Amino acid sequence: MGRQNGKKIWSIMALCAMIGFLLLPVATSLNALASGGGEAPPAPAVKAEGEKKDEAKVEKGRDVYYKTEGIVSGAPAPKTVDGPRDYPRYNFESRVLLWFANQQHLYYGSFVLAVPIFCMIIEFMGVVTKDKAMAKKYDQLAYDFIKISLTAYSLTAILGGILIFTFLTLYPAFFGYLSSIFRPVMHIYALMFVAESGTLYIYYYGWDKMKEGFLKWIHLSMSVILNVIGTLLMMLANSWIGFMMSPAGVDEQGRFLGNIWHVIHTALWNPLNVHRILGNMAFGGGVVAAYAAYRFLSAKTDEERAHYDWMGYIAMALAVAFLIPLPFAGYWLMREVYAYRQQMGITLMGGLLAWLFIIQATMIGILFLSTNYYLWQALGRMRGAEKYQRYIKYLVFVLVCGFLIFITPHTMVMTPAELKAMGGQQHPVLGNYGVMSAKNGGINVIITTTVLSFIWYMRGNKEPMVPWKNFGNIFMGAFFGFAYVNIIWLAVYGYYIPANVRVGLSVPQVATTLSCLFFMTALNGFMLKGAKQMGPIEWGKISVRSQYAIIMLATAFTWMMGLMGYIRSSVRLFWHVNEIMRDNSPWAYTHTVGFAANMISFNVLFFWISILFVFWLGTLGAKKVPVNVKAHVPGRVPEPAHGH
Amino acid sequence: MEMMIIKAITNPIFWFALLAFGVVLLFVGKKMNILNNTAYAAMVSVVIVVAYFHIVDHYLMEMQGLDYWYLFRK
Amino acid sequence: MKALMSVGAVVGVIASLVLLGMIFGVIPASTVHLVEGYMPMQMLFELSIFVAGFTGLSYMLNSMGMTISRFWQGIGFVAFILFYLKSRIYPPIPFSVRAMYGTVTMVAVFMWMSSNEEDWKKFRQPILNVMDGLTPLHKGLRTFFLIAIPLGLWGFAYQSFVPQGAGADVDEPIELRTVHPAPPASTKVHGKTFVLQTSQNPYRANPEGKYDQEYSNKLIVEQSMGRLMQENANPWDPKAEGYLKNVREGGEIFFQNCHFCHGDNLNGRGLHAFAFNPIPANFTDPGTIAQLQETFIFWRVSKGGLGLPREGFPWASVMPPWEQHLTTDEIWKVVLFEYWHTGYYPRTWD
Repeated sequence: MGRQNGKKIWSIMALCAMIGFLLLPVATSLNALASGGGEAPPAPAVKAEGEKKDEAKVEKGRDVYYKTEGIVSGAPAPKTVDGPRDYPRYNFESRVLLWFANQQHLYYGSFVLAVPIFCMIIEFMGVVTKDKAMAKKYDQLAYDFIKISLTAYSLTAILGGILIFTFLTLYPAFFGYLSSIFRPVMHIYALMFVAESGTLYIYYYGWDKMKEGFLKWIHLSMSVILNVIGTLLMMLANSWIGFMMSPAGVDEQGRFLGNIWHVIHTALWNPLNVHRILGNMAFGGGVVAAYAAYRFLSAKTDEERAHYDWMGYIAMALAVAFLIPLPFAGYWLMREVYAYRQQMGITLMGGLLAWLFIIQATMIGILFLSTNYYLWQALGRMRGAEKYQRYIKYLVFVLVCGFLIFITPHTMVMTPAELKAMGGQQHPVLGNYGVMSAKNGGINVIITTTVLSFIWYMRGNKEPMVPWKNFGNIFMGAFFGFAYVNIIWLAVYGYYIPANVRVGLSVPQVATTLSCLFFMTALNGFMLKGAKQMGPIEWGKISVRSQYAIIMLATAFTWMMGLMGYIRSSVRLFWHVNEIMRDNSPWAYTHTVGFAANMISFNVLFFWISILFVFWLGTLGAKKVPVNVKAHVPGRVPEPAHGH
Repeated sequence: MEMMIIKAITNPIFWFALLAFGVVLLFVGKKMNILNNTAYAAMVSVVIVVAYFHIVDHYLMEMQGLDYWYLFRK
Repeated sequence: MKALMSVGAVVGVIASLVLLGMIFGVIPASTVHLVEGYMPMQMLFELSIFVAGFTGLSYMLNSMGMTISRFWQGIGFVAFILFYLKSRIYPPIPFSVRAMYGTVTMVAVFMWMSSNEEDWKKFRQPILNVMDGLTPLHKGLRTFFLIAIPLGLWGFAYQSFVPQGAGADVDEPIELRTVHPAPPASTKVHGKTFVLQTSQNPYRANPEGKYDQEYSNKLIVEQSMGRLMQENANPWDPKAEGYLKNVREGGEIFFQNCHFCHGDNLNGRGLHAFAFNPIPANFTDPGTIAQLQETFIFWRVSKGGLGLPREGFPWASVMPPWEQHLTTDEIWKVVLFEYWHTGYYPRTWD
C-alpha cells in the first residue's frame, strides 16, 4: 500500500513538472506581454520604437470599439496600392490560392483539435466502465482515434506552414500589419504549438506504459491538458479573424493602442470561439464516423463489421451531441454581428450573402435529416424495435414540414414571367415561410424531432419496468406534444406582434427544444432503469444505407464548414480589416455564388481525398495486429464462418 | 369578465398555481394508486406541461425585457 | 384503432374529392378558399389532413384485402404533393421553389420507404423486377424505359431551349435579386448626415415632443386584415395634433407622389405598377417595411434606385431619388404614414 501511494505521489509530481515545463515558455512570454511586448524587442525594432516614443508622448488615440483612450504605439494600417509591392502575384488569383491554403489548414486543424477531445471522452468512459471487456474496447477505440489524428497533426503543421508562406508571399503588406499588431500573440501561439506537440507525443507514446491503475488517471489528465492547450491555440487563432471582422484596440487609422487584450477580445471573439469549438467537435465526429462507415462498407468479416458499426455509432453520437447546440451558438454569433454592425448583419442575412444562407439552411436540414435517418436505421439492429418503426412515417412528415419551411427562401428565384404571374416579389403563402419567425419554428421542430428519434432509439430494445411506466409514457407524450404546439404557436404568434417583441420569441422556442432534450432524455433514463431487454444490440446488423447516411452527414459537415467560413470571411467585403484596412487588390469583389460553391466543393473533395490517404496510412499500421482488433469485440459468440 | 380572465392568465402566479396543482395531483394519484390510469395520467400530464410551457414563455420573454402577453393585453 | 382509421379514411376520401372537384371545376374553386393571412398555416394543416386521410385509406384498403403496394404508395404520394403544389396554391409557386419542394418530398418518401428492411424490399422489388426483365411484361417495360428515358431527357433539354410564352420570346434570364440591400452606415441628405443605426424619425413623437415609439404604436391602425383605425385616433380629424397630424401630412405627400406606383392601398399595385418589372415594393407584406428600421426606409426613399450600393448589383429599381423632390421633413413624414397605414411597427434593435 505504501509503495502504491509513493507511486501515486511520484506520478502527480511528474505530471506537475511536465505541465510546468510545457507552460514555461508561455509564462515567460506572458511576462513580456504584460508590458506590451516592448521590454526587449528584437534589435531592428528598437530604433523604430524609440522614434515612435517621441511622438507617442503627445499622441493619443481612441479605440474604435472600446472607445478608450490609449497611447499610440504602432504604425497605422498601410494604404495598399494594387501592384507587385503590396500584392505580388502569380498569373492567378491570389485570393483563391489563399482560400485553398486556409481552408485545408482549417479542416485539418479542426480535425486534430476535435479528435483529442473525443479521445478524452472515450478514454474516460473506458476508465469508469465496470465491464472489463467494454473498458478495453473503449480504450482501444480511443487509441485508434489518436493514431488517426497523429498523422493528421503533422499534416496540419505542414498546411499551417504553407498558409503562412502564402500570406507572406502574396499579401505581404496585410500580413505585415497583422503581425505587427499580434506580434506577442503570434509568439505565444508558436510556443503553445510546441507544448501541444510535446503533450500529444507523450500522450500517444506513453499509452501502453501508462495503462494501469493510477498511471492511467495521469494519462487521462494529460489528455485534458492536451485539450486545454489545443483550445487555447484555437482561441488565439480566432482572435486574428475576430480582429479582421470587428477590430478593436486600435484607433481609426489602425494604430495599435498598447492594450493587447483589447485586440484579442474583440466584439466577435467569444461567439466565434464557442461556435468554432462546437463546430469542430461535430466536424471531427463526422469525419471519424465516415472513417468507420468506410471501414464497415469495405469489411470482409462480421467481426470487423461489428466493430466499425459500433465505432461509427459512437462517433456519430458525439457529433450529434455537439450538432444540437450548434445552431444556438450560431444565433448568438449572428446577434453579436448585428449588435456590432447592423450593416454587416444585413449583408449576411438579407443582402449580398443571403443566397449562401439559403444553401446553408439546406445543409443544416440535410444534417438533421441524415442524423434521423441513421437513428431509424439503427433501430433495425435491435430486437423489439419494430413497434417504433411503424411510426417513422409520421416523424418523416413532421421533419419534412419543418425542413420545407426552413429552406423556403425569402427571395425566390424566378423567371420574370413567374414574377408577373405571382404579382410581386413576395408570395402570400410561401413568403411567410421566408421570415425568421417561421424559420425558427422550422428548425426547432426539426431538432425536437431529432430528440424524439433519439429517445426511440434508446428505447429500441428495452421495455420500461418501473411501476409508473404508464404515467411516464403519457407524460412524455404530452410533453413532446405540447412542445410542438408551443413551438408552432410561438412561430405563428410572431406575425402578430411588432418586430422588437418578435425577436425575443426565439428564446422561449429554443428553451422548449432544450427542455425536451434535457428533461425527456433524463426521464427516459429513469424509466429505463432496470428495464427488460428484448434482445442484445446486434452490432454489424445495420443496413448499408445507414452507413451512406453517415458519409453523407460527414460530407455535409465539411461542405458546410467551407461555406460558413467563406460567408464569415467575405462579409468584410472589400476590407482586409473591417473599416481599418482596405483591400486594394484586384480581388476585392465578392465571388458569384456559383464560383464560391465550386471552390468549396473543390476544397471538400481535396480534403476527403487527402484524409482517405491518412486513413489508409492508419490501416497500414493496424494490419500488424489484426488479432488485437478481433479480440476487442465483446458480446459476440464466435460463429462458424459462412460464405456470403 | 373577459378582462378578469385575461388578467388572470397573463399573471405568472396563475401558471405557477396550475403547476403546483398538477404536482399535487401527481402525488394524490400516487397515493391512491391511480397514476397508471390512462385518463388520470393524461390529465395530470397536460396540466403540468401546459403550466410549464407558459412559465417558460413568460419568464424567458421577461428576461429580455419583453412582454409575452403583448397581443392579449392590447 | 379501427374506428380512428376509418374516420381517417373518410376524411381522406372527402378531402381528395373536394380538391379534385375544385381543381377541375366540378365545384366552385372557392369552396375551401385560402384564408388570407392564415395561408401558411392552412397549407400545412391541409397537408396534415391529407396525410392522415391517406393513412386511414391505406389501412382500410389493407383490411379489405386491397393492398396498394409500397411502391405505388410512394410514387402516388410524390405525385400528389407535386399536384397539390401546382394546382392548389394560388398565386402559382415559382418553379425553383416547386422543384425544391419536390426534391425534398422525394427524399422524404425514400426515407419512409427505406425506414425498415421489409418495406425497403417491398419498395424496390418492382424496380428490380423491371431491371431483371424475367417476364415478357417486365422485359417490355425495360425496353420501353431504355428508350423513353433518353427520349424524355432529350425532350426536356429541347424544351428548355425553345423560346416560350406569347410572341415566342426567349425568357429573360433569372436574376438573383436581393430585396433588402445592406445600407450604408450613414447617409447624407440635404447636407445633413444621418447615422442609420441611431437616427430617429423626428415626427414619431409624443405630446411632449420626445421620440416615443410606444406612444405612436398605440395610435396605429390595427395590424390585421381589416386595418381598422384605432378609436379616437383619426389623422384626418381636423383637431388632430402632433403625431396624427404628421401622419396626415405624410399621407398627403404619399398620395401626391408615391401612390402612382406603390398603390393607394400601399400594396405595390398602383396605377403604373405593372409597367415595371419587378413591380414596386408591397408595404403590406410582412417581409418589407415590417422587417426594417425606419432609417432604412428613409435612406431608400431619399436615394432611390440610383443610390443603391454597388454591392447590391443587379439592381432593378426605378424609384427616383426623392431627396431631389422632397425635403428631409417630408420624407420622414411619408415614412411615418407608411407605417401607420400598414399597421406595422418599425424594427428596433433593443
